[in-house]
Amino acid sequence: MAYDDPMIMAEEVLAGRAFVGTCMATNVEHRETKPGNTRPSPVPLVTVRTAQRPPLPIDSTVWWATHRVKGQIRAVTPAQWQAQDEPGDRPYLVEVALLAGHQRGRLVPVAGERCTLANLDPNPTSPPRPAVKVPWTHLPQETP
Amino acid sequence: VTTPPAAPGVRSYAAIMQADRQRVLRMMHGPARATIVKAPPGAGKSALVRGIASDLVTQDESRVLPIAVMTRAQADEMTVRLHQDMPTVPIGRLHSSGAPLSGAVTALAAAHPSVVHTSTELPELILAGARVVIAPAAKWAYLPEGLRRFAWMIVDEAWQMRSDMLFHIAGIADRALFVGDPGQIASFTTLSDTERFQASPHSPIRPAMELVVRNHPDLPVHRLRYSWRLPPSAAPLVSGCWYPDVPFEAGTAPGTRSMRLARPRGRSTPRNARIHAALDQAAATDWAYLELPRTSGGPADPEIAGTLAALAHHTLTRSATVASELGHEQHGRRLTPADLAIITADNRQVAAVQTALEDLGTPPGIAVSTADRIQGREFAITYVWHSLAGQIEASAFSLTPGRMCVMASRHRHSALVVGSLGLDQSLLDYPDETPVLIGEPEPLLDPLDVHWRFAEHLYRHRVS
Repeated sequence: MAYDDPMIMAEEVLAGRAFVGTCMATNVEHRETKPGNTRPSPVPLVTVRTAQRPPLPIDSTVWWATHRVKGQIRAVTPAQWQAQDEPGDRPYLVEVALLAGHQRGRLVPVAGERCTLANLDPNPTSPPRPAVKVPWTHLPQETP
Repeated sequence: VTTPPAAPGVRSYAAIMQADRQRVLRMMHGPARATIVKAPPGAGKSALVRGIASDLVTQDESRVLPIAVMTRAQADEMTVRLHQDMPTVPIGRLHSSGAPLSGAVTALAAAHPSVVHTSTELPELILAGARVVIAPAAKWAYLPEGLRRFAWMIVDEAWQMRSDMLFHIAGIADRALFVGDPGQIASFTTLSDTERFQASPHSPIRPAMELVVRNHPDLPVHRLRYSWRLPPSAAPLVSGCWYPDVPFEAGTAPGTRSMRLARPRGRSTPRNARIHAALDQAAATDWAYLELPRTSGGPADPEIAGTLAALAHHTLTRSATVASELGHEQHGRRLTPADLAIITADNRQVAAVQTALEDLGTPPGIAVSTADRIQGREFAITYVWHSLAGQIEASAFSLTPGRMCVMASRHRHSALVVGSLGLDQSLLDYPDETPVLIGEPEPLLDPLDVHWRFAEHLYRHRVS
């Protein structure tokens, strides 16, 4: 799917599966020990400011749509309304931990960048190869 | 997952399970290539699968026995429980590289390295000596053809599988045991042009078991007859609405289970008076139907989400305790968040409920899930987003009988359903335009009829 196509992402935003925000701050030094590992690895933290409360709950997996970086929502807190906000806005700060695809902290949004975070997997696995022979379950019973 | 009663209810769980297990084994050794077990909700299906697995392995009929389940969580659960049942038999959990194992399985494999093996490669598990290998069907589907052919295969939760998945896995064993709950739902397709599969004997979009039975109407079928999960207040209703061909009863007697709530604390507002009235209704009769005014907040209406969250939240604030035939519940047990589940029809509703719970500051741990994903699981109390609530008009998706069936059959004690005013009217207004397709089987259930019967039941427990 064309995750870099803003028109397609607009549909995802309307359907409540994605949200758009401005990157406010990043912490590329942050490290965490992931399940199954013994040593900590880099998990950059990104704080994104959104105009409305994101439709996804804490712990949701989100993909930074344009860069195929996988993250997880860690915290959602209301933010102060500011003069540059639209009148109907209820801004929130969303903390996202980047878990995969960030190239050891090199592929991380920069402060001020607009980013779309979507609860979709842009890398779906390919389907298994179909069996060469149609299995017996899928063929009508042979009449003796 | 149903835990056997420690004290006798009305029937002996152990005796019934033993008889079922022997009967199924006899059927499996008959001439047919596959045996089908139809199990109503909470009938001890997983225990039966584990029992048969241990019989096949101890009788050495199958050097390696593959078990296919539908989800990773089910595979992890099956691994842990199977090891508890037969701690000396080496078992393997085959998993994909992208999907982490649950903490319970990782810990088990670390604690018992000689009997619990995990790997992403089947040959490794077989070399390690695993006698039973457990994986989701989607993992078995990637097995290269001809790598291995087994004597037996067990497919658990077979009614959650679509025919295209069975196409990939049916060939891995000579003979199969399909066990599942025919009231559950197979994953739906997002394809738009499905008409071309109409009447095809290998239609990829139909539930797998429907296709197997249609192609092979003579396969032996065993039906489990008692639900150890559903209380007597739910079993006849669920059986009558959704299981015309697998009638069942509750394994426990009326009055065996009960729920108690402390008095509500804090200021009373009209809204939370309704919440508390619904909770009291559920404690008294095991059911409550909380009817909200006709809402128009769309499919993920925040009012409905907030009501469901508040019901679960106040179950905890009112220190709910349950008593049952189970040993650890005989003298009452305080409910924790993990005993509760909020069940919705779609993912946007899940997100709306989770946000509402965050806003209430409810302790974490309550399961919030769609009906499709919560299949096979069991909770003390469930809170149900009626599939027609918040809908402007009924749709084929919201009327799917299996979806409502899953929602109405996850609880051991009570179910609280939240709906919106005009449920009966939206059923009356539904223009049934389901086309009659030549060559397609007649569905077993009429969705509107089932919804009517369930709605009539809900109206008897209405709080508004």
